[in-house]
This record gives sequence, structure tokens and C-alpha cells, in this order.
Amino acid sequence: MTSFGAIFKVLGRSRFRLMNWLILAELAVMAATLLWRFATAGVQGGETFWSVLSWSVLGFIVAFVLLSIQTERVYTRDTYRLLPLGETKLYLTDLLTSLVMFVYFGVIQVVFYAVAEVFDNRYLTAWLKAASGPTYSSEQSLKALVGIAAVGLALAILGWTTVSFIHLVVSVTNNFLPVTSRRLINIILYLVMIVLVVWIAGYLVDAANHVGDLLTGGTGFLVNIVAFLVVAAIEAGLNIVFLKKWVETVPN
Amino acid sequence: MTNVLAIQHVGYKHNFKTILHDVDLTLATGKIVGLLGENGAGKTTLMRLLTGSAKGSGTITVCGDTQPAHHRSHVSFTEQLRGFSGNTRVEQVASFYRTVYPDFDGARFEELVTFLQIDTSLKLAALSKGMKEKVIIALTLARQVNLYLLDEPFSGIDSMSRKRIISSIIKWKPDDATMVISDHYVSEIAPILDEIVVVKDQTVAVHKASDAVREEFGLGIADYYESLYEGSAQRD
Repeated sequence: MTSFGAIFKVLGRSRFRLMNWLILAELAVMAATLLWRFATAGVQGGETFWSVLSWSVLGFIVAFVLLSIQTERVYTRDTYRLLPLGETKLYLTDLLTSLVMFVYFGVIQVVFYAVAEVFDNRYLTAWLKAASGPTYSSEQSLKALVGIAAVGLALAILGWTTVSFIHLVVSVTNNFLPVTSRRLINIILYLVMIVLVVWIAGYLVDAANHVGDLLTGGTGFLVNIVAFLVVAAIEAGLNIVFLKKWVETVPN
Repeated sequence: MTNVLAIQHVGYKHNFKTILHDVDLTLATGKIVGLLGENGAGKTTLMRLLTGSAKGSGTITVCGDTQPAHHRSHVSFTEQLRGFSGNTRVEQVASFYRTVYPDFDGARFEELVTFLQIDTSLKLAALSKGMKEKVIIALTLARQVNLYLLDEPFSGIDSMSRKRIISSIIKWKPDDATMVISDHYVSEIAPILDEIVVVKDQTVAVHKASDAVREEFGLGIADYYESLYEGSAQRD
């Protein structure tokens, strides 16, 4: 049987390469943006920090999407489904590999923020002060950053389990149902997807406006993280059942 | 003689359409079996059911085990490498196989690569159809398992490549392993087959030893197979 280490290694290799390409692309656009800004508006405060932050947010979204594609490919390709291991191990290792690569991407972003902070140190501090009010301290800001990272990771896990859930439901219905019923199911799933995206976007805006919760000891963030992970665990369980019972690979 | 495969009452439907119905089949170890049938008869589906790539009903036992995850450690199936991007080199695919399949024999793969004249530095996207089929055969045969499933290994490739693939099958098939080769061109593989299984009318219509076909009907495998569709030979 294939070991956890072996499957993690082969899944991680291509995703690690993908993340590195993304980081290189991100560095290139950051550098291009800064050069353009310096050339057109001269050196003013804040360019480095805001350029890094803006491209980094986009980078996280692209990283999530790229890792989603890689994650989903495993479920319907014989290359992976023919491996001598159970579906539970395959699913969880696949999810874990994407999570580890997302964390790797996040760590590199923190390095970028740290470099940007060297050049434009007042901007990050100013943002944290605005969020926390008069009680700001270094300890609290660290707590806020850890909290944001935890919410981000919980959301990423929930995002991947939800994408897989929808993908696998579509895959199952495509195998079993006639064309008319499949279309109806697909429309319902698209609607569910739209509602979810709107809900998550709304949550993110709300969360960004309430970073102070973390600094003032509010429990809203923690409750949300637990709720995300509970929903993700339920979806993961269903996804594993789908894989075991009904999800087929794309035929040769 | 022990059985490598036992299939009981296996069925498969796709979009409410029955592809296979009430299939029963038992294969002994050490045989080369031709899985024959028209296009769309269900040959590939039957192979996919054995590996768990397709989900059907009934019981499938491989080497005494009924769990699909365990089946896969006994079965080597010619998969079309769709999980790899076109930029992946053949040597990288081999490295993947070496990592994930504990039964992958690297030395045997190198021998197969030399015999089949494969350039492992080529990218998958640069491979011709025949060369890709050779790579798939080399990867499949380099595993040390009990059951090999070769799904139409000769489709669309030139006669020289076909001959080389057939030679590699004869040379590298372990004595105690069973090999199932699906195809609808029978004449080229007929001489190496110990048994034939014909999938027709959504089930296994015929399962006979090649010698028994020749003795019983006085026909070669190819002629006998064609006669099934002309209605001149009786079904088993």
C-alpha cells in the first residue's frame, strides 16, 4: 500500500513548484508596480507597503484557486485513484498537502510584509492602531495577526471542502442521472455556490471591520473558526463517502 | 490452480443505461486472457470496475480480497497518464511510479525502456500515440503484481510498435501473474492468448480456453470471434 509520506511527496512536489511560480510572478508585478509608481509620482511614503499588501491579497486568492484545481484533479484522475490506498487517506492527504502549501505561501507573504514594514513601518502600525483603538500594544497586534491567519486557514479549509463537495455531487449526478435531472441539479448547485460566495465575501468584509474583537478579547473570531471547521469536517466526511461509493474517474 | 479474479453478479449502469448486467467470471493465475468485444461493449468498464475506477454492483474478489483499495495493490492497469501535465518528462512519471508503488521495479522498467526504445527525457506532450502507448505498457509491466489489465494497448499504433509491445508482454509477464488484454482487433494477439472472454449483450457471453475454441469449432480465435457476431457459432 502507498504510504502517507509517498503520497504527500508526490502531491506536494507539483504544488510546491506551482506556489513558487506564483511567488515569482507576484514579486515581478510588485517590482513593476513600484517602479512605475516611483517613475510617475516620485518616492512618497506607503508605496511599498500598499503595493505588497494589494498584490498579496490577490496572490492569496490565486493560490487558493490554483490549489483547488490541483486538489480536485486528484479525485477524478486514474493517476491518483489507482494508487493502492483507501479513499479516506487519499482525501485527507490531498487536503493536507494543499493546506501545507497554502501555509508556505502565507509564510512567504509574511516575509514580504516584514520587508515592506522596514521601508514603510508606519502603515502597518497605523492600521493595527486604527483597528485596536487606544489600547494598542505589540502583544495585541501579534494576537490580531495570528487570529487573522487562523481565520484565513479555517476559511481556506472550508472553501476546499465546499468546492470538493460541489464537484463530487456534480460528478455523482453526472454518472447516475439522465441529462434533464443533471441540468436541474447543476442549476441548484450553481445557486448554492453563488449564495456561499456572497456569504463568505460578506463575512470577510465584516471580519476586516472587527479585527478589534481579537484585541479586546472578544470571542466572535474563535466561534467563527470553530463553526467553519465543524462545517468543513461534515463536508469532508460526506466527500469521503462520495469517493468511496459513487465518484468515478474520467474514463480513458 | 488458484484464482486471481472472481466476479459475481456484477452490474453497471451509467445515466440509467445498463452497460453490464449480471457478469460472472473467474480467472486462474498465470494466464494471458483476451477480453474481446465490440466498441462500447463494456470491456473498459469491466476493467475499471476491477480497480474501483468505476462503481457498480455485485462482488469482485481479487486475490481473495473484496476491498477496492486492496485490489489496487494486486492490479496494474494501463492508465492514460491524465494526471500529469504535458510538460512532465517520462523519467518524472517513472519517478512518480517509483515513489507511490512499492511494487514498482525500477530495474525492470529500465529493461522495458531499452527494449521498447523509449526516450525517457521526452515530455509527455511530445510523445507520438505509439510512443505514449509504449510508455504506458512499460510503466504497467514494471509493477510486480498478480493481475495486469491492458486496455486496448494496440489501438492506433503501427504494426512494428504492436509487435514490440506483444514481445514485451511475452517477455516480461511473470509466470504466476494473469494478464487481461482488451482489444477488438483479435488477429494480432490471438497467438499469445490462453483464454478468451467475449463481452457481448451486456455480459460475458463466452469464456473459453483458446485451445478449446480451436478443437470445438475448428476455427482460429479471430474467425470464431467474428462468427459470434454473424450468429454462426453457438454461445457458450
